[in-house]
Amino acid sequence: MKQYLMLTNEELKRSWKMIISIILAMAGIEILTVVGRVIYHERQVQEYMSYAKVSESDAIRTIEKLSFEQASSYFSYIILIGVALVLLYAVQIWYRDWLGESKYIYRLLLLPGNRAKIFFAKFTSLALVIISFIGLQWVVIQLSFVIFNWMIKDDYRATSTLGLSRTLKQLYTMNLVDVLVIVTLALFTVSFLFMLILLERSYRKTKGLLFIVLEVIAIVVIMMGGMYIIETLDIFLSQEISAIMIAIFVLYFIYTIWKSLRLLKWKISV
Amino acid sequence: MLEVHGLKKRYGRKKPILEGVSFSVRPDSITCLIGLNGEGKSTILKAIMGLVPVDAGTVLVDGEVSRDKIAFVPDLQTMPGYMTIGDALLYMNDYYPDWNPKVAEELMGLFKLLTTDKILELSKGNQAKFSLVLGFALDRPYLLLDEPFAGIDLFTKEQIAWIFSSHYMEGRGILMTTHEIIEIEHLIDRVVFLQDGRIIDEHDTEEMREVYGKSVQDRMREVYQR
Repeated sequence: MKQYLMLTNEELKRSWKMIISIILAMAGIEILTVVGRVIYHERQVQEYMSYAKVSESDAIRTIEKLSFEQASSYFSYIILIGVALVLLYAVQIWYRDWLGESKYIYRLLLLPGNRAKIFFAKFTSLALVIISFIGLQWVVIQLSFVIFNWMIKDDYRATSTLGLSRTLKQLYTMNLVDVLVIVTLALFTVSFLFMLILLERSYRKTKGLLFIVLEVIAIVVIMMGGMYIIETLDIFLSQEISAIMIAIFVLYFIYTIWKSLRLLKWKISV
Repeated sequence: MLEVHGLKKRYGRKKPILEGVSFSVRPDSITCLIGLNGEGKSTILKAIMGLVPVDAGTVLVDGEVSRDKIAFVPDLQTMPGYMTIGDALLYMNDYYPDWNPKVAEELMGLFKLLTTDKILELSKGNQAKFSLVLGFALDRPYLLLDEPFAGIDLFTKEQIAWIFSSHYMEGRGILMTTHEIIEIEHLIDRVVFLQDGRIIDEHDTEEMREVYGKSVQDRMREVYQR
């Protein structure tokens, strides 16, 4: 346990500068897009007033008031970039040990005790990054909403409530259960990705690629096949369908971890 | 005794790199694994340490399947690049219950290494020395060294050769791969010659000198130039 905690700390220590820079850069860009949208909107109104020689209220009526939902419309794209970067980090956290200037994988695999701690240390690092990312995004939304309300003139603002775009609502439901589902899905994706990486690092080249393709096909078949059977049979209630899908996910999640640990113990190669 | 039985290894569809390699390393002795480049010497060491999976074969350490009694010094740097030597020593102290900080400190002094130096900024020679410190300072009865003399100067070679005959190595069974026999020939107790994935010859060096009147270097020439 102590070694697992120390390794997790080590993993985070190796990347904290990069992680903090990326998270702060994303938060900064998001806030700047809101500020930019407010300034742009105000300029549009002013320009329309001087161009059409109309009053401010007439100009606002034509241009339309700005809502926070509109002002934060770029958030989804920035978050998508963030998701891509987290996935990239999931790949980098393994490959740097083989391909970096030093071959740290030798040291990791030679540490006394069970190799499972290597997997769980990297997994925990990713989990912490994901949770921080989601938490910080929530803070950014709240903060940019405050900035939005502070910057925009009352007459220019559509509503004073915190409205989010449809895509953003999927990610930030402000509902604890939904947040937990998002975190679980993210961790499932990470464990699946880890398994693919370990397959490649164990079998390499053609054989490694072949196993990766087979695993991807397997998960697609399991998910699609499960859905198809459920729909064809048409005997389950919606709650039962949700329970079956969750059960499939949990079982596959356990499988990916079991498989990864076996690869680390028996098949991995420096 | 470190016993290697029937190691077999093949990469993909290529010719097998190891075809049933068996040998043993006695405690308190130095065994040298000799072979030309690409003969599988490093693969054997990695296989012993479980760093590459093998197709067949077993490794027993004093009759047990356990690697906790073996220290391994590969021919490359294994600590994260951002660490200083001091960080790395603390790391070893934290993770390895059999880490001997006293030996590490003595060897650091002998090699004139500074704890404030960043590992990846060390010269090749100092990196090799530091790798040796990490291996030597583990209180383990067996030590595997992969090309410990590669890329280091004559004086360092002499220092390492001195360590082999010093109290630091007392009671330890050492298995090393090297091309540079001359400097340490007088220290080697046993040689194992490897070719095409098989052991083609093995001798106690004493016996080789007395019975055949040959040095390891001479025998090496005979084996690989025939």
